Amino acid sequence: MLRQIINYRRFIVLFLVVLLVTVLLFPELQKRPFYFLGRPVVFVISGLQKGLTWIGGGFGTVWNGYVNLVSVRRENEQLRRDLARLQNETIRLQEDAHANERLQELLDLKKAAAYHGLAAAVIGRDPSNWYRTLMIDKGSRDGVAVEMGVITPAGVVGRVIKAEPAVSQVLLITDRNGAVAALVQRTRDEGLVEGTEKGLARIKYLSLLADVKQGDLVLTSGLTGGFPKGFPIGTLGRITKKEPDLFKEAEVTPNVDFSKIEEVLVITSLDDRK
Amino acid sequence: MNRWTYGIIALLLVPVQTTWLNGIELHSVKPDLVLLLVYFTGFYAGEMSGLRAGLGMGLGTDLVSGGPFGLHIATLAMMGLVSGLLGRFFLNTTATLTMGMVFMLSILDGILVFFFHQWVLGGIQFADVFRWTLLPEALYNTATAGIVFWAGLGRLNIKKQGAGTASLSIPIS
Repeated sequence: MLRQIINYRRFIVLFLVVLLVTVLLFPELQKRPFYFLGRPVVFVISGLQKGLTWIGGGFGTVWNGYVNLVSVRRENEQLRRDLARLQNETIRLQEDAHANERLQELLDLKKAAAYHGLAAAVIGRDPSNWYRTLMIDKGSRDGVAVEMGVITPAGVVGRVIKAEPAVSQVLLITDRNGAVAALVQRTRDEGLVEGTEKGLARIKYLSLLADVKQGDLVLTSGLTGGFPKGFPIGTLGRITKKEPDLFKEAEVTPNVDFSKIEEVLVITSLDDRK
Repeated sequence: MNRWTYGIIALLLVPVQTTWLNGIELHSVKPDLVLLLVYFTGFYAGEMSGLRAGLGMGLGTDLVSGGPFGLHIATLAMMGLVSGLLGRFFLNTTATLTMGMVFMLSILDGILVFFFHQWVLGGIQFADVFRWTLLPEALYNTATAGIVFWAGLGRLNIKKQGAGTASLSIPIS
């Protein structure tokens, strides 16, 4: 009997794991704040993410310097060393200038806007291909809370879905679970921008009478919390209307290039400051 | 590979997956190194080690992923167990076998993720997910597994544990 149990140990373990996870996955349990159990793990992972992002930046600079050096003649070692040093310095300065430019844009946006914003750096992205999220280096300790909107000077990025003390997770508008109330700037038709499987976005629930065209600008309507009214999301692409549907929908090309975001602004309050 | 090396690789893998790997994304899809680690652990060290690796790596993934909590714990633990059980059928391995197994396991993992996601959140079409996420990811994982095997594991000649203990053993030379 005991031998049989030992023989089937792996299946018993599998059964127990499946049972545990099934319980964990129950939709009701997802709402419970049991994330505190994983806080130490998140703390370690986010620390490593920050380190790797920093190393990645440094490595990129050195690598670019190396690539640029390949064409320099072998016999002029001294010149090559000087060139390497200068190139590295130039790249570093260029990086600084770009970062300065981006941060200045964020600062301008922060100053000009009728809302309070908190600048944050992107330290990681979702480990899975199924979800589109960003990890930022500001958390509940800095005033970030769930449901806050996240933007860049180019447009809407997404919404905070998890706020740990030192880091937060942002669900991008290109994630299939993300949705932002929007309107078409030219025609004022309202709809809902959602993510797609392709990692793009689409606007749904546009009226059949809406005279929308490709290239129209899509803005936030301000109806969903977290975002001010009139902030750019993207431009309309292909417009579709299937026969039985009561609404039109259209592809939206986001203004933000999500693969290149390095800094974002979290909208901590929509109170008018002016 | 000793426990410390393995531990460091496992600890660094989720942060690497969320930072450096974004640089090699193709159409918003990147290889799943965590799944590969779980597969190799299960295949070489047995199903219980695979299961443990899946549980640990799944927890790390779930904590920094936007999906429902528990999803990757479930799927990766199962993948660790399955790869361990499959590993019992083979005395040793080749790059082709590794790639075939990883492709199959990636598809299975994707199907499980789909079902769990659909159960908790719903609202996705399998055909779309298969075309835009599941299949590209499986292909990318397969290619990466081939490179990992060719560049490292195949040369290390790691001894498999529990090889040939299944009722049907297929020695591969």
